[in-house]
Amino acid sequence: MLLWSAFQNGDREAFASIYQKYIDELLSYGYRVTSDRQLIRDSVQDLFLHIWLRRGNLAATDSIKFYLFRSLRNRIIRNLEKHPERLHADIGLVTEPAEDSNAFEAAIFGHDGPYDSYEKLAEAINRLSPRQREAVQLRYLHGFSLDEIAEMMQMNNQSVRNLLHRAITQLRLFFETAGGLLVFLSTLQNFSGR
Amino acid sequence: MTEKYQTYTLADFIQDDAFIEWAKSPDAAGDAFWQQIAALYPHQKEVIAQARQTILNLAELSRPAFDEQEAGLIWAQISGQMDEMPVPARAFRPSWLRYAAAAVVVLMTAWGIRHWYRGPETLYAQRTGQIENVREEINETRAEKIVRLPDGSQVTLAQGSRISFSESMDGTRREVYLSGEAFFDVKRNPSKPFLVYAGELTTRVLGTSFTVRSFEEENVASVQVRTGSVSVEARAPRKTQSVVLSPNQQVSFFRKEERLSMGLVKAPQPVIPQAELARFTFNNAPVSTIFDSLSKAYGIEIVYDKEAVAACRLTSSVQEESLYEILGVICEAIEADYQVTGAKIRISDPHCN
Repeated sequence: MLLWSAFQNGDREAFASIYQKYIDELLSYGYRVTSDRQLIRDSVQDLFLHIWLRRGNLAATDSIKFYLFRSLRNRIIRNLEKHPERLHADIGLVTEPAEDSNAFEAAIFGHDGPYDSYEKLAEAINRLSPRQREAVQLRYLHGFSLDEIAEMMQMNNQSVRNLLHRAITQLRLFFETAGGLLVFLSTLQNFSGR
Repeated sequence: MTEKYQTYTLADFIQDDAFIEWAKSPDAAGDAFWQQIAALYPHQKEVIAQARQTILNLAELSRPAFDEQEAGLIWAQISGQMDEMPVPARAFRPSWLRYAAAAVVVLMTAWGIRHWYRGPETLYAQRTGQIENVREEINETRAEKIVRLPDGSQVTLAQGSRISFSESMDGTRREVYLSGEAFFDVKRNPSKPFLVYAGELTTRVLGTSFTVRSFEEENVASVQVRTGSVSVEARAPRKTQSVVLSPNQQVSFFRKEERLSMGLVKAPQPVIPQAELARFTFNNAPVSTIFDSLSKAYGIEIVYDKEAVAACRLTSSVQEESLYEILGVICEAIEADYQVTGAKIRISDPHCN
């Protein structure tokens, strides 16, 4: 909070610290929303310049991170809408593809390539719908609450809950095998050793 | 209030708010609470441990790889445009407080490394000390040394490198410990994953070929993939990260920064037979077709603006040039540039009429 108010008073170092602190996560999220790097670059740049120039008018916020994520997402989507030809290639912001759980499993378990279970979990995540992947990343990587995710993705809380529930149900098969016994055992030791 | 946890499944735990909170940022209160649950319902203890690991795996595996240089480049743009007032020459001007903070960080890191983490060298020594029937191969010559493993795989050991493995290799996995650099040509066996432990990096495959480089005295360790698909996990004191690599991709691990960075190998090799590549001939073909064929031939994503290249056509054939030579020739002809960013190749907008 001190950081944010220092920044609002025009402290450049506070601004630089905010950038340093959140940029990796923001980029990582940006890459989930669109694969267009130039667009991510422009959107991040716009976002930070915007908040720097308008710092006096910004509301005090209790979560800088949430504010930045939500603003970045809105900005990317606005920019995508200016280039409608790019939109189709990116997130399923518009429509959710039909889910066929059997086809999903067959695609992964039937894969003849050199994959083992850990890779399968990675691949299974890649095969989730774009919205599911986005929600999974926001929840488990960036640690946002359901309410925050709902506000960001402009859905209601229950829809986010359902979206995540379907994703977890699809991935469930891979939890049991993936992650490997090795990590599993080490976690167990950590856990009992705490 | 805690009864519900008695019948929780793995999937229930990983959707529970309080549980996610604890798995992501454990604290004393959380530890106490979940230990109490595990003590109350002993049959849930394993489920809890596994659910926690699953949340961490989900976090890592849902993280898209991104170009590590991007942050600095964007900042340069921002700080250049921050306002009309002169921008200070150094945006990060150190004050005494900053120095003090830096000193504390350095001390903490040094302490952390000493206490939490045995250096990479002892990692190798520590791990190999525990193998039964261990066999160690050391290359002290100036040439490469070929080592045949019990499972039929072949290792080409670089100068100054060593590997250890069990003479019998009869476990459920094939495990090799490396200090230095080696090229692995792994015999395919889907029921027995092949793992290479090298410092912080663990590389898992079923049957493929790839190079691992991890010298203790170097800050950067890397894995480069020739064929097949390879998963790499970097386990460092502060975080564990992982990526899945396909042919011609490489990942570099920066030890000090604990960063994984995706890229392409220096000399990409075609993923189709060389003879097939040599049959590539393009007669007044749209360059988009050429880029797409090259992209398939090397398994590398080539990004370009479809509209911008629409007017470009070329006649060309592939002899024995490398991918970068081919791209150089094409780009020169259409007055564009190519740039490797992360694991992709990006073509700038050309000038064709």
